[in-house]
Amino acid sequence: MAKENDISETAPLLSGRPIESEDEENLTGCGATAACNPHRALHRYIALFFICLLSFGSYFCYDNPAALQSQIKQALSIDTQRFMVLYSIYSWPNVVLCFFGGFLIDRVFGVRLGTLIFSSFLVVGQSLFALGALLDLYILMVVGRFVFGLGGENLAVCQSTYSVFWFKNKEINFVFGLQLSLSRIGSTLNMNLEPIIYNAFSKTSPATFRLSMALWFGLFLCVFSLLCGVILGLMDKRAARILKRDSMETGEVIHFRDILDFPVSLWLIFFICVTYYVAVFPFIGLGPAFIADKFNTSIAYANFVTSLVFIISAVASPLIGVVVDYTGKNVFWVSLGVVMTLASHMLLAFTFAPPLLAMCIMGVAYSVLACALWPMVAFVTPENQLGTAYGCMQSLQNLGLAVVTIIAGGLVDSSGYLMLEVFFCAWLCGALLCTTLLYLNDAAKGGNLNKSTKERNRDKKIAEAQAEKERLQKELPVNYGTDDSHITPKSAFQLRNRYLSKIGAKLPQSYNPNTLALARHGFLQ
Amino acid sequence: MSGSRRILGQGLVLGTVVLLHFGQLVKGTEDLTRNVSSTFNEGCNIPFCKNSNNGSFVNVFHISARGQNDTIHFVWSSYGALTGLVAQTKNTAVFRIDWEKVKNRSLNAISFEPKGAVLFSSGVIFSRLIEFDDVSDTAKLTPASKIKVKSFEDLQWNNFNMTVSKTKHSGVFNSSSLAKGGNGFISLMVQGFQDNGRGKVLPQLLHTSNSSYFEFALKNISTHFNNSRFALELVFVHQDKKNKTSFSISRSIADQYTPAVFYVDNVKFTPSSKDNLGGYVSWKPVTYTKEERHLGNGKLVHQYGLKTNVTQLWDHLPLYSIAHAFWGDLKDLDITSMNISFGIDQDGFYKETNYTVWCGLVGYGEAPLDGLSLLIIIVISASIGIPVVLIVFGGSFMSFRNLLRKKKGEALLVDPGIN
Repeated sequence: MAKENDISETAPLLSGRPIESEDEENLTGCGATAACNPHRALHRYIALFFICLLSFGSYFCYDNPAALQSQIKQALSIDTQRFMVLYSIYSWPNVVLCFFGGFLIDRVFGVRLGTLIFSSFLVVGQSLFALGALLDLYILMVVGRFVFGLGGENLAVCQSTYSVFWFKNKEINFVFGLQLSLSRIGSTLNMNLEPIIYNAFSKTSPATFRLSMALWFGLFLCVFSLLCGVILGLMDKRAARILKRDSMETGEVIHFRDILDFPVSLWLIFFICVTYYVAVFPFIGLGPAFIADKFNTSIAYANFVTSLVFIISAVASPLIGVVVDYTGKNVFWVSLGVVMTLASHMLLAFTFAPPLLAMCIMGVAYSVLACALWPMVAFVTPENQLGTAYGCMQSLQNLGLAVVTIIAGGLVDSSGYLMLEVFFCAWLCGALLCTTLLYLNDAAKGGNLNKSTKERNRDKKIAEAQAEKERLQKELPVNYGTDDSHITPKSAFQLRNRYLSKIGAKLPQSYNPNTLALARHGFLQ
Repeated sequence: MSGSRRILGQGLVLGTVVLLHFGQLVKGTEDLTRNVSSTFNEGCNIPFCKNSNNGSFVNVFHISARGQNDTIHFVWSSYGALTGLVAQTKNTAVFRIDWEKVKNRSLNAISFEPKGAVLFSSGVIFSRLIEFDDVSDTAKLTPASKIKVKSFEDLQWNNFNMTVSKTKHSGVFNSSSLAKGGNGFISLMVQGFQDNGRGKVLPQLLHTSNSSYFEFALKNISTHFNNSRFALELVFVHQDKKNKTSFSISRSIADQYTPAVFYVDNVKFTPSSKDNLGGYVSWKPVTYTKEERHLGNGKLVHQYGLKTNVTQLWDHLPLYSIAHAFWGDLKDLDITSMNISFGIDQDGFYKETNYTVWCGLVGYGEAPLDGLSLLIIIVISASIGIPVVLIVFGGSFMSFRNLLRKKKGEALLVDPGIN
């Protein structure tokens, strides 16, 4: 067993100030082994295990209704609209919580307690959901999903905060990628496992009982996630003590006044986000039944085909992320994602082509869009407004989902799946419209968003060089007449005009650069 | 078949599907408006057809749809086995029932005069109701299933005349009670139409004046097994032995009228000569398990294929029905049969709701198919059109602007001072 003196790395691996060696806590016994020593990488990876599993239960349970759609509708004898309320009700609390989640975690609970609280919401929510199924009480199920919604999204915020603090300046991108993949695995597992659990119980027992059994399994995973949260909290507390780390914060600051300053391009990005996601997420919920009915497949196969979106995005997201990062041209990628999704919806709507093909296209398209859309927010928003911008985007997304899922369910009941698909296509065309407007708006301002990464890097270099030059110019005596300066001193004429235009005085016609240009090109002569 | 050929084939099918849909849209109004009238027990002149016979009424409902060139007759009756006839006749044809002959169950009791007035005829007989014990909950009737069979010939019927709607040309055949409580029965609603239209309730089938609509319902029937489901044996009669009756399933992308149902089952009676178009019995494979129909209680109607082996059929063909009364000996005709069953696995069996209703059409010519509705076409063209227009105009505007700006840029470089 290692002794305390064996610790070779005294520098902290986690973020925080350098720690004076005399403050170093003495680790003894098991605490000093690589697995338990917060200074060591192995310890970090153990934490990663728990971080990743933190939201596993949440992702597994979120799509429980989709996996068991026909069973739920049959057991509770509810129509599609009331079924979709189970999804909608999840989104409603998040319309508001997106803004306050960060605040609650930073100022009220702290990350560790917050994690436990939000995990408990999931546990309680899922319990009510399963209990509602058992007792054949639809309203209790809805309440359960609402409580579940109170926890779900915020837990994701806690999870990423943990990741940032344990892996900042380390394998952070890998960690985020791993989390995304694991969440997709949770969703996929749900789609394919839940019907099996349901069918495992005797056909003679009531449908509500079998349904609740399948849902209790989800609860089991939620409890498991909660336990992960407890262990992680303890580990983190210990690590923070030993490493004397700063307290964790999401660092998310929301200023509602910033919303007034958002540029048009940011609002367009929001609209793209809303119009795109409402054509994808509600479809996941309705997809299995639609595919089984239209393409005459078994429910199990339909569930599998629907879950392809998740499987593919789990695999493709990291790869596509690299491609998008490498090439830039985000607006182009966004429109590609929208058009591909539109194509896949049209395949589903207007043909009997195998749904496998359409869902594969949708999976890739979904990854393309996600990789290209979300980073764009950072291109058009100053850093201090990023928290507000992302909060706003998620809030609008949830609002869109909350409203559209209900409408989508009602549409299926009254007008069938063709109309539903047409409805989704219309939203996607709206997304395409917004993308086009974004491109035009951006192009009018110089085309910053659709720059390739090469151009972006070049511009960055130029900007840096420029800044450097200005710095030098401030330090050195002004050097008129050198060729490398693009800044030319203004003549008295120019200064006067500048002053006049600043105070709003009308300039003589001949001073207007536009008309001057026209005059020079001979239009006014 | 090679892959590429299959893809090509699918492309062609897709192309035809799209064309068909648009063709349907354009065609729509071409179908005939007919002058429709309906009568109950036409020409009834003896007590046999006026009063109940040992608790059962003799019901013959005749709908005639008179067009410019021909008349389509629909005759529905519960006498003998429950049966629907479709006949296309010349406009001069007169429908006659010889009630004494009907009473004696003799052949050729129903006829059209003069001779040779009938151009085409076909029919469907509801021969047997099969209750089966679905032990393994597969919702499939198998040779191994325990069954209990009820012949429609053995049923007693209430007075149809009480249910006739002269304006709708409709009525309902209700059987006497089939349940201990007294409120369980089989019913068959039938209706004729003046022109094209669509049912107001699910499955909202499209109908024409060439068709008659029916709704077959099993209400509160007492069951004999724990996991009882019901199946129905139908016998199809084609006037001409030489011509075939065939079965096909067509699929359509359009489910806006019958949500979640993309298929149509169609029994087609091929035309017997160039002068007629043949006939059909068609239905969407959906049964609703509650009176208030919606997508949620729509369950599958499973069909077991068209049986063309006639000899197997003879054993349990009904002894008498209006098909016998019209055609005489059915052995001289093309006879086929089909079983259909109601429900899907895990739906809780018939006892879950004690109700199931199945709707279809019998008719002359081709079964009407749903096309894309105008709303869908408008939404699609608008939602694709707007971004395309914007891209085209925006794109050309931008390039024009860039062109301009380049020139302007040159101008600005000379005098960058203002602003």
